[in-house]
Amino acid sequence: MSDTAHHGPAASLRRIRLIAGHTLGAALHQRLALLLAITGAALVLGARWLRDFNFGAAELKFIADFGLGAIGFFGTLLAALATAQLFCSEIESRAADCVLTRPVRRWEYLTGKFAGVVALLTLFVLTLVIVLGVVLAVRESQLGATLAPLPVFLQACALQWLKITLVAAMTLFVCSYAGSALFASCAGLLLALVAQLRGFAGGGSWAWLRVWPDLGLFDGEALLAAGHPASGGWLLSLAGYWAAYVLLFVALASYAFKRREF
Amino acid sequence: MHSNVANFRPALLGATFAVLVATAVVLRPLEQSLASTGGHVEQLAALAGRGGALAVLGGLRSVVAGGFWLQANLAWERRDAPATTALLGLTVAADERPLYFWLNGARMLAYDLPEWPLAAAPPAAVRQKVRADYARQALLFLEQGRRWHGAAAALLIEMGNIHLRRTGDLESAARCYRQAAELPGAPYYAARIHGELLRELGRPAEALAWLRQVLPKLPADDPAARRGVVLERIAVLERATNTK
Amino acid sequence: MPSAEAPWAVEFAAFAKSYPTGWTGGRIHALRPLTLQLAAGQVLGLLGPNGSGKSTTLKALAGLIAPTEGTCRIFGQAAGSDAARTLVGYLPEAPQFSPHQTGREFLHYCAGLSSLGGATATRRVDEVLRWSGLGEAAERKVGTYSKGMTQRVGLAQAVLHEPRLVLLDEPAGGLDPEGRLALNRLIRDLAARGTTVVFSSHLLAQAEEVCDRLVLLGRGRLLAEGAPAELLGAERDANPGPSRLEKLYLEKLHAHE
Repeated sequence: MSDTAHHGPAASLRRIRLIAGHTLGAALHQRLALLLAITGAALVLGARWLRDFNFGAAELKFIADFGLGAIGFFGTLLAALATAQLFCSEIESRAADCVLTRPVRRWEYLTGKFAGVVALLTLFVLTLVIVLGVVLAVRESQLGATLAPLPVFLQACALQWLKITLVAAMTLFVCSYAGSALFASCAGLLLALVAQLRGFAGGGSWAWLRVWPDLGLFDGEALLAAGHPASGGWLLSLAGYWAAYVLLFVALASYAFKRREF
Repeated sequence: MHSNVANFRPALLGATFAVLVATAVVLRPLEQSLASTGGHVEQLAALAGRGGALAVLGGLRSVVAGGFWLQANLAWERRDAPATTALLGLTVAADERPLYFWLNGARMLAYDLPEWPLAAAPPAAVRQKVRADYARQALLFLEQGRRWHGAAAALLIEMGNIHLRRTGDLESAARCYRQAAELPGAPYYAARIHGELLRELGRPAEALAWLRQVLPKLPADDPAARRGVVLERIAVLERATNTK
Repeated sequence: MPSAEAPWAVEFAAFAKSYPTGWTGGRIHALRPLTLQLAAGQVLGLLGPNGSGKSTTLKALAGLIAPTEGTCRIFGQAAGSDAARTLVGYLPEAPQFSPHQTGREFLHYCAGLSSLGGATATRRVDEVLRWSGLGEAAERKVGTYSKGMTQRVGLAQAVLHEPRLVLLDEPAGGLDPEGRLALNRLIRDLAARGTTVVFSSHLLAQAEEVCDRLVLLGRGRLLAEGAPAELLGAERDANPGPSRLEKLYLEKLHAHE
């Protein structure tokens, strides 16, 4: 085997793809992902029967709001728990040792893990969006009303996806330091909560929150409530903000993980 | 060596934190341009420890707010004024979007809560003070709602109603109705009531000028606009002020 | 003797590893300065009880830990470097592999990570499955494997990419006598093909049987090293049997205390 086969961007990409596929396969065999997806889907399907909790909002708006909320809430749980579980379990079982002693660079391993989790989260969001879309379409035809244009609905769902993938990146950053899946899960969820509350940070004692990204900016529900699509410039800026933080967390995780010993 | 932190190096953590701070500083202008309106800190304070984290964490705000609203109504049934007030606050903190919560919450505060202590028929001065206190609370509640729904005429009309019925402050009521009437989508009656209140305040010329200004904007084909009523009032005011 | 073209397969130069114990500035010495060389094609057994530094030595060779002092090289390359990792195959102690994959799928995954693709990967996977005796269980999920089978699939992934140095951390751990015999056969087979093997064990008899060289470690220190015959000397001839090595180990350990 030639030494050049191990080097270069193509070789790196191939390894990242392999690790991502392996991670996704492991994730799909976990009960956690299935449980959260089923619970989320059941809640979205059951939104119609939760109208007892709906006051003052149109039914379609309530269903959409509730569905997006379920995607955001269960997606956040899945992003933090699955990332921690998939990353730490491989280290605890020493299977990671067999990967890291091959010509796989640490950053490739981390990027592959992250890509696998992102693929899982994409499948999760897609599944729930389809369920929510069907529920809304059925009620729209029954009520003869329209919630919002399709692009607005899709943009709102995309914001939820951006939010939960950013939670996964933050949890990956924690994992590069964590010694157990339990610690990584708890710390990942705590960071997600802190980042969600980040928008509330004023000055003084709240100032420390400002080092984390503001997940409140990815407010799909508000976009849907507004009823008109976000401007291209705003979406582009938000995507840039997301990309900057995802890259930062993956880079910081790689930096820390490179120095980690087993 | 097994611990919760397997990669603990103070220098590494310090460097990481420094990069996080630097990134936050660099991205601050972008973040500010993306951010929506403020007022979040009070909302968070209201939600603390009451399951609000669930609402904040992943949405589901409608349901959480609905739960608080139901609890507020149960407290209302028990005639528990402090609990009702607190739960109304939590309801709008969890989900500030439905006007329903602001309007009905304010009505509960202004008209229902003061009547419970008054069941024992206290002296008129006490009665008046209790009603005024709750009216002020309801007005503050609606004022808070206006931070989220600045362009909602319904909130201003409700404030006008409370001034009219509970505080007897016609001047403030007139101001609220006028502000409401000037908002897009305001009901036609807001302008008519403003004119009527000006007349009651002893300013018929001002009332006349107001109604003359309003009249051309009223559609002839919409019965809700009640052009006839406005024309009638203008005629009455013209007679009262001897103008034509 | 190795030359510039053919350096030592393994070379430790005053390699030491210690860990901080907390904020007090104290350190745990996992491995005291170790100097050691091993020529290509030899089988080296690292012997000692738990905590003696066997796993630390193997992890240093695998590049999973960095030295606190000194150096560690593999065929002239710094351990853990990109070049060194292409030369190494590693079996960690008591590993657990993805239970949802079949043995064959797992090995294909490992082959891909070692840049083996297409027909080469398929050929090598078939070869190592046969070699490790897992041919019939290749399509079974790894989660259904016995401990011995898991150890064999671990060994298979370690040799899959035909590394020049194979590192095995307690490969006989938890194996029954039959499994140990099979393992010894596999190690001897690797050596016969010219592969350098370093493995750790606390089973002295097994080490004596398959090793060209032995290193006795105790509490992070090198106690003794040499060929089994050198270490055991005439005593072996007079009183053959694994108990001699055990006796020697205890003598060396006590001499250092």
